[in-house]
Amino acid sequence: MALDVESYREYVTARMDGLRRTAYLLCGDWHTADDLVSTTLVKLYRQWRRVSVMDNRDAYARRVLLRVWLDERRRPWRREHSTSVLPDHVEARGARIESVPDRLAILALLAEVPPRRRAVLVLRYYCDLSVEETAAALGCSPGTVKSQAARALEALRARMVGTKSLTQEA
Amino acid sequence: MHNLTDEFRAAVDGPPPSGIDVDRLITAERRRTRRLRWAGGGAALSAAVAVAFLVSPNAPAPVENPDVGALAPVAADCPRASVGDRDRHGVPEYTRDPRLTESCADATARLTAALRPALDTVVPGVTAKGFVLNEYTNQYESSTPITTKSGAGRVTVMVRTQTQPVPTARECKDGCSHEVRPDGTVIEVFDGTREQISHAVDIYLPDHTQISVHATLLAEGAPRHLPLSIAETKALALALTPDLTLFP
Repeated sequence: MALDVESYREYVTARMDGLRRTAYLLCGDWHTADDLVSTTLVKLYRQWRRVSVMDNRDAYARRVLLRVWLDERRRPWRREHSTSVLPDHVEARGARIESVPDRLAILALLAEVPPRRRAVLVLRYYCDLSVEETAAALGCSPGTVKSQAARALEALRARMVGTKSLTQEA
Repeated sequence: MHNLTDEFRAAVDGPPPSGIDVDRLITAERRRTRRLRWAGGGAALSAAVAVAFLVSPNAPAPVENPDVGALAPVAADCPRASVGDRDRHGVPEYTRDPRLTESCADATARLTAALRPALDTVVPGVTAKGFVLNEYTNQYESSTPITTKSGAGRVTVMVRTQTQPVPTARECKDGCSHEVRPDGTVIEVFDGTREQISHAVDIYLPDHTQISVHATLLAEGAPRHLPLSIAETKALALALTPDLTLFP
């Protein structure tokens, strides 16, 4: 069975933007997001014969993206950050949020959440996945998703004290 | 929670243009797949050619690698040479048959059957000892003692796969004669300049069999040449015995 490149191209063209935005929320950098999406698309291409007949291709693509990102996070060079200017003093986390534009504030907050919890937040509140769908995407139980989401929200709340409230519901 | 959703959506609003080129990704992936296929196919082809070469009954043994020409482990029923301590070098270097498709037992029986009438012709009344495998030199050898009134000697016939390039005439010096026959057989005859060896004949057959015949003097003070006239011509005749080959 020949690989249906046209259907792949069509699917990727339609979904790439959403994948890029999801990747950006996960990693907080558009260049890294492009790298993650590129890797995801290559993996999708390799498996396209199987993926093309799936009922929920989006879920598969999201799962691949998450795996790629989590794998990327484990690489040693991701633990180091170079900077051209040495900070004079350690900034308080809450104070820093006030100094950045609003649209970057959420990213700064997300960056301080552990990767899997960040993934839970993005899948639940950006991709609008249910607990069960999020659990399937992350390969864990729904209970784990609930507890991770609760802890992640709690952490966000703690860091948002004095700035603004992100949550209006429990 | 809608606030968080809105925050997320606002954060990813107006993304920069994507640098991802799907066509380039597809092209690169196709190139990678093609390379993998070529690499895998090439490896498989190399393995198939190597296997076909090794199991081919007509395949001559390469002359460079001394361990080539050996596939089957030496069977337990293979007659082995008793090697003196002086000639041992650790463990046997060669633990496989010197030739490809014939078992050691079959080879020794066939070579012995070929040698006996030939030696009986050269030295009437003498029965050649059967061929045995010398695991230290990876060759079949038959060493027959010969005793006469005037002295004692030993005729040793060694049959092996050629492991070195056939010597050229230029390398044949000091008591060595070199001859190349029309069929490609190379003959080198050494006279008695070597200690305790009256004559030595080396034959390099075109099928990559190397046959050596040595006539040695065993007893101290014994006549230089065996009285039974293992002369050059006879040693040569012995070495050129038909069927004395590893690739019949």
